[in-house]
Amino acid sequence: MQLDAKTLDTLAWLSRLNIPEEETEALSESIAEMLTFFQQLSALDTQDVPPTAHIAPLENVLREDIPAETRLDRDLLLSGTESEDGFITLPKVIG
Amino acid sequence: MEYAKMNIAELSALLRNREVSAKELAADALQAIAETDGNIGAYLTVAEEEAYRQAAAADEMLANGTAGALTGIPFAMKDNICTKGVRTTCASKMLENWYPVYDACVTERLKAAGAVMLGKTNMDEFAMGSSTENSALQITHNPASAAHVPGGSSGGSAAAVAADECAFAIGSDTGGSIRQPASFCGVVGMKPTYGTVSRYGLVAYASSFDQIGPLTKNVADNAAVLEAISCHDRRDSTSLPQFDTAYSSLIGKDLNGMRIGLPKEYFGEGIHPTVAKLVRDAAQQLEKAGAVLEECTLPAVSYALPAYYVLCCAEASSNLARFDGIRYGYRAQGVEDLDQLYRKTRTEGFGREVRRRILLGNYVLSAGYYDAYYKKAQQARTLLIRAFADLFGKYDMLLTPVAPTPAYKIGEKSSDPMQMALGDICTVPVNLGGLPAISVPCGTAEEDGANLPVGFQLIGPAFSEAKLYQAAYAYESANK
Repeated sequence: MQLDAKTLDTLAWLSRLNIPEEETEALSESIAEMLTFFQQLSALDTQDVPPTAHIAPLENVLREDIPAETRLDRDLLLSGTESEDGFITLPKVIG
Repeated sequence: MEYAKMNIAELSALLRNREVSAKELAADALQAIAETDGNIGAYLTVAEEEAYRQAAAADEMLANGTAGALTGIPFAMKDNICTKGVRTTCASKMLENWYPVYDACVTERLKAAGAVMLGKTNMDEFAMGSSTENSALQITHNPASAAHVPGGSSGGSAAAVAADECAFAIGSDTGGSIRQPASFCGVVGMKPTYGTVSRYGLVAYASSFDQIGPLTKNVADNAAVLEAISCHDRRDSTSLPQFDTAYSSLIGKDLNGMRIGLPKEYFGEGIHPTVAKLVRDAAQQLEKAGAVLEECTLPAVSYALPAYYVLCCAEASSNLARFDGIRYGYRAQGVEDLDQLYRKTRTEGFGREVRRRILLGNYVLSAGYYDAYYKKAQQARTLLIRAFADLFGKYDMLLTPVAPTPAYKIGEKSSDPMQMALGDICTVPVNLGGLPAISVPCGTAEEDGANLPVGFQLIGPAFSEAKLYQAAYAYESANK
């Protein structure tokens, strides 16, 4: 089984990835194989079973609105990010 | 390399008695790495300067009476845990030259305890894999046999401990990534209860499963390291507010009356006969030590693996969206627009397995498939949690294999991700349930002319680490 080309294209777009031509066949086969494997779940009776998103009893963690140390400093500029005159440089990202 | 084979307790005694300094221990460990790691490949970065700096701080603590159990002890850190100023790559081309500007909570805790970090260890890229072969940077060999994988994803950490290139190592476990390499390399590995070790500064793979834990030469060391790294941390929103961290408190106590279940599903088809035998032998030893062993059943494990892979790929696709060529790490060159900057950066920066999991994750989360895959897997997770809860009404813990087989050969499964995934069957249920589980060496299997380590796994309910260590220690003491 293989994933059809259109679905793979859509997935690649959603994932912001290109699919190198030499990988297309193996990748679509491998994804299709995993999806078939996932379908084992469909046999499971899950009526009225609530989904678990997380194990931890989650609460929003809020901090007091007081000034704290920031790390947007020289360290960050030196962390492998391209920078110039104390500003982070980026390629043009807005049309 | 006089000290390399010693465990934490032995080294700590020498340090306290001033028979050796932290600086001498660091030098000894760095020499062990220099002599051994060329054949193992456990370390991606050896942080010599940092090690000597931390050793000097440790010697000061030893001199002024503020030293603790880990002061001066040399260790290795998995390369997905942030270390300020020390390269943190996740074994990915994406972060090959990334230097964090802050320490992870675990790094801070170990520094504060005076432990001495020797370097950063190899892993499957972004922790996705079970053999460390998915590292974009290097191969790691199993110290028991160079032709075999060390397991993964914390393969570098397990190999470093097994090859005496550190006294202990830190790993992370999303679906077995501490326990399985511990089993393959013959060391002790603990995946603690979800929320007891802060994930602040751990590069996220699947956030609802990821958990940091120790790999050590023995059980008591493991408990000591977990005591040092476990805490509440407000910077991790899933860090639990209150729990007992006296993990060593039951070590040495007898097992009389302890109830241990052996779920028969873990001993069925696909389990290597020697692995099944060694784990059953371990069961007998635990029985001799006073525990009550009983066969039980956990049918819910049959859907744990598909549920786990749906959820971890979904979470990975979301977590790894941040690697866009703008803010972190690698940035592709020669692109004309934003979309191509994203796509080219991510295609070139991520390895094949990472891209495969991102694609799968986006598939199961996309419109039209969400209910059939993602929600269904979350419901399966609920059912598994309930099934574990039922069993823990009857048993203090469960005894199972860690992996269906001993270590396999390098290259044997790397081109077949499905085969690789099936090897996670014994470990992923624990992560779905957020439970603690320990991997303890219990012998070797002769395969391909090599004696390959095998471990057993003890799984307990949340916060049962002290009991797991108690049982593991009883086994270990009886088999010295």
